[in-house]
Formats: sequence, structure tokens, C-alpha cells
Amino acid sequence: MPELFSKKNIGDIKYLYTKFGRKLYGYGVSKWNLAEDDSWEIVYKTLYKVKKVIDKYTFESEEKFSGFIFKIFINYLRNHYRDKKGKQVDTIELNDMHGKITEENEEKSVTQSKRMSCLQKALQQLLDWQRILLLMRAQDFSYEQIAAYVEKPSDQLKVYHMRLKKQVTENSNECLGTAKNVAQ
Amino acid sequence: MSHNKNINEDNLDDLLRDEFLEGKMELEDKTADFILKQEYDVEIDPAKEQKMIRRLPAGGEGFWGISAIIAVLVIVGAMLIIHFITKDANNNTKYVEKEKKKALYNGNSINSKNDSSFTVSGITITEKKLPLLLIKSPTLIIRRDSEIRTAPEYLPFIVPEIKNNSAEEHFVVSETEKEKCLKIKRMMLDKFLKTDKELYTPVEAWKTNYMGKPVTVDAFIMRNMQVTNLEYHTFLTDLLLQDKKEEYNKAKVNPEVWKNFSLAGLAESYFTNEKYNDFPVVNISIEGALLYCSWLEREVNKYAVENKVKTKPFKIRLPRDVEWINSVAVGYAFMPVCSGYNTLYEIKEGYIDDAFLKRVATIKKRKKKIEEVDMLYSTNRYGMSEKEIIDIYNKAYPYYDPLPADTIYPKRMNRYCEIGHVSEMTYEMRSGNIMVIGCCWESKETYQQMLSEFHKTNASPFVGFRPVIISEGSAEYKNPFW
Repeated sequence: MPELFSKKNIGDIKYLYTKFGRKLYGYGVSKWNLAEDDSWEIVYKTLYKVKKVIDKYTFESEEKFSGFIFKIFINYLRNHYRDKKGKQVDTIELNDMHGKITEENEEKSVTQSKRMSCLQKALQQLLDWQRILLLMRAQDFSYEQIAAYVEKPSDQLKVYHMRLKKQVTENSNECLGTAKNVAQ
Repeated sequence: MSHNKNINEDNLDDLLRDEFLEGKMELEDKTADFILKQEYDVEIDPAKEQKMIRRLPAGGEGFWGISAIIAVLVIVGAMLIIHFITKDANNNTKYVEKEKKKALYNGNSINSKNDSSFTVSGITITEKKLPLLLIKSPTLIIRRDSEIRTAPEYLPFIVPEIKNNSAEEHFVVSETEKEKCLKIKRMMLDKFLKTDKELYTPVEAWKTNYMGKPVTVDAFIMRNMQVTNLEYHTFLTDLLLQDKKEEYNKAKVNPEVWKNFSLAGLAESYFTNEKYNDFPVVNISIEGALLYCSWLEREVNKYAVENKVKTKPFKIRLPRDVEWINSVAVGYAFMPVCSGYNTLYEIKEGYIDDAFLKRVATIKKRKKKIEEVDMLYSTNRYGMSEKEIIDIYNKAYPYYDPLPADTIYPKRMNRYCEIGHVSEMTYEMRSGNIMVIGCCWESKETYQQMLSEFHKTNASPFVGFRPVIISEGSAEYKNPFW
């Protein structure tokens, strides 16, 4: 186990912040368009949680630890978006904050869950690197950055990406068509 | 996020982002490691960073027990010392704060020419009188700082100096004002690009009835409140910084109009005193409002390119009447509960029909929040005395901590704009002209009287504006930020 990745280090809040906190803040702001304050809040919650539970875990490698901390961050990020969606249904004024009151929300929610389920099926049919290419590209990572991860030439990734989008779209819609017929 | 039934290549990225976040697919450690190894080109505000770090527990084993005991001991000790030493000092401090607040709520300006004195109701109070200054204990120095932070000190805007050199007007923007302008401008643009939901609301395309005929209203983003004094001031200063003197002259605020309504105090303070920063800007011409929209459009698109934000160029303009009708009809906007004349929302004016009113009634039933201030913001200010208006403004202050004044604080802007209650410049779709819409007018005659005064002076203390943002070329709005 490398010196950097000792139990002492990961329990040190300064190390946690320098190594992960700043990156997570940048990731939240640049890839998820979080407001500064929201991003700081999520980073704070993440690091606080890590600090609180760290003693209960052991990690084989820094990569495993990165995975652990990132999953906590993503959980908080997801909760943040769910909260935001929830708030949109609140009250509204002509000169006040606007929110959404619709009768179609329930229907949309069902449609959305069907779409997500079909999308998941379509993604499961792909190879790991193909799935990663789609997911990372959707977050605006550049082809050069993704190339290093999936170990493919960056100049070919754009073509792969376009083909994969088409393939996933078609497969998902095929699945959606079937789902609609069943529902009827 | 898109709610089209089918998946297409345009909305696929949104769904993939949802998928990533919802975590149905197993997130691999390798992916996390990849994301955490990338460099992210974002600016970090050192103050916010420090604030976050200070909240975190310090490292080390046994931290909780030891640090908790130390903290309790320090707090108890500090409280005892403060209690004995500052017993008298607090009385003076409270008096000063009380007088400052009293002056603000009475609409008096506080002249904060230097840090050590200010004037309230003709009495100059100097901080030399505060015993706190004479005590050199570090604890008390910290306390004094915090007292200063909680005591509202509203500073007047530095209105750009105009020197007439006989040949041409010469504008001077001080370095302080320039710095402040650029800071606020950046905050405005950041919040715009991050589609801060407290400032902007995307409204989907919708079918509605307008003038008795069904129309489809394209999707747009509606600003949640009017443009505020602070934002408009930033716009004006930026015009000067960009050497756009002609535009500045067309857009500048005309505070003298207040005086036509015997509101001389507000003429002096409304646009220039920081305590009105978040109130709606008024006394601006139609041309000024249009120039603001063009400026915002230009700056936002430039800022998006500079910051590599992937988005289509935005179009920013005044709202259309049909967009207001649509916003209310689909529940994005709510009409204040009031009697009187409601311009666009009067059935006899022909813009709306019975179905619209029924729908509004349904939406109203769902309104959960009833507050005392509801009655205040639903009262039109036209015809009120200065004291009556300022009394209403003052009731807004207790709702939000008034400091810091020079920042974009959406919740406060929202509340203060409600309290400001102004009517708004809007495009009339059938004629293409700009009309003024608003609610709770005493009668149609009063409204028409205000309108004729507005046209005469090309500005009114009762008329403001807000922008809408559109993504041209798309039949249905696709949130460009997600």
C-alpha cells in the first residue's frame, strides 16, 4: 500500500479536502452546473460523512477509496437534484418565484421511468468502454480525456460516439414501442 | 429535463446524465478514479472555501472528545469575560444599532463617509463613544467586528460623475465602482448560465387561448422577479466602462419623476441608496429596458463563449402578453389576490376567457403560503403618500438579513420586488407595441392616468420590467443547461 494512502492520511481532513474536495467541487460546478454554494455544501456533506464513517472501512487501494468517496458524493448530488425537483412543485406568485403545478406530472413520471428502464436495457447491451464513452461524453468530458480511460485512439472516439448514440436511441425506442403496446 | 415520450439523439445526453446520477448501473471505482483525476477549470472563491473548511471537523484520532471539551471551555470562558467587560458597552452598541435601523426604516439616509461616524436624524453619532474601541482585548475586537457586520450600513451608490467640458460630456467611473460593477456582473452572468431556479423559470411550450383564439406559445424562460436597482446600476456602469455613452444617456434612470408624485425622499434615495438594491428598478424609459435586454444578451453570450459553456446563443427580450397569460394558465405564475383593475387579466379586455379564469381559480386553491406580506405586495402603490410607501417597504426588511447589500441574493430580491409592486413593460402580441401590465389598480381610470403620465415623462415610479429568455429555433424549449 503506498505511503500516501495510509489510514492516517485518509483520516486527515486536510488531505481529504486537498486530494478530493477541490476536485469534487470543480466536478460539481463544471459538469453538473451546480451553483457555487450548492457545490460547497455537497462537498462538505461528503467529506463530513467520510470522516464520520472512515474507521469502519478498509480499502485495498487508493482507487477503491476514490470509488467510495465518489459514491458518497454522487448520493448527495442525486439527493440535491431530487430536492430541487420537489421544490419546483411549490407555490407561485405573479411577482414571486415560479413553480410548476401540472396535472401531467404523474403521467410524465411513468413515461420517464419507462424511458429510463429501456435506456438501461440498451446500455447493458454495450461493452464497458462503449457505455463509459456515452456516460462520460454526456458529462462533457473531452474525447482526449475519455480516450486515456477507455484506451482507444481519441480521433476515432467521435465516430464511435455518434454510432453508439444512434444505436442506443434505436434500441431504446424499440423497447419503448414494445412497452407502450403492452400497456395498451 | 425533457419529457418527450421517445428518446432521440438530442435528449439522450440528458437521460444518460440521469442514468449516471440515479446509479442503476454499477459505478465502477475506475470511473470514479478517472473523474477525480481530471482537472476542472473553475474559479474557487477563497472565502467560501475557507468557510467550508472551517465547518469540517479537524483530523486526528480522538478529535471529537478533546475538541468538544476545549470548545465548551473556551466558549464558557469567553462568554463570562464578555459579560463582565461589555456590560455597559453593549448598551451603547444596541442604541447605535437601534438608531441606525430606525433611520433606515424611516427612509433617512445614513451618511457613512468614514468608518467612525454616521448621521441619524441630524444627530452625528461617532463610534469613538463606544467603549468597545477602548478595550484592547482580542476577544472584544472580534466581537466589535461582528457587531459591525450585523449593523446595517447602507452606502450610497457612487453615481458616475459627469463633467461638462463644453466639448462633450465626460464620464468618470471610480476604481471602486468599476470593481463592484464587474463583481456583480459576473454574479449575474454566472447565475444566468447556471439557470438559478430562484431567478429564472423555464416554461414549456403550451397551447392557450389568446383573444378568443387558440395559440401555441413557444417555450421560454421567465425571470422570477423584475430587474433590480443593483442589476440596472451594474448595467449602466458597464455601459460607461465599455464607453457606450450614447446608450448610457438613453438608459439612465430619471429619479426626478418621483417628484411629480410628491415623493421627493424616494427621488433622493431609491436608486442611490443600497437599502433599495433589491427593489425593482423604476423611472426608466422603454428604450432603457430594451437596451438592458440587449446588453444582457450580448454579455451572457460572450460570457458563455469565454467560459466554454456549451449552449446555443440566447435571445433576451421583454415578455409578450401571451407569455404572461401562458405562465399564469399553466401555473408558473400566480396572480395576487386583490380587487381592482388587473389589466391583462380582465375578461372584458379580451385577452383571456372564462376557461383561463377557471384554471386560475383552481391553481389559487393550491396556494399553500399565506403571509401577512401578501396583502402588502398586492396593494398598488399609485396615489399613496411617501410615508405610506416607505412604511410598506420597511415591512420587508425584517424578512431578510439586509447584509451584504451588494450581492445577488435571489430570495431577498424576490421578496423586495414583491414589496416594490410595480407594473411591467410587456409586448402586446396583436399590435407589437409595448404595453404596461400589472395588477391591483384601483380602477381602470387610475391605471389610464398613470399610463398617460408614463408616456408623458417616458418613465414612471410605478413601472419596471423583467426579461424573458428564448432559445430560438426550437418548437419546444430544451433546457440548455442540462
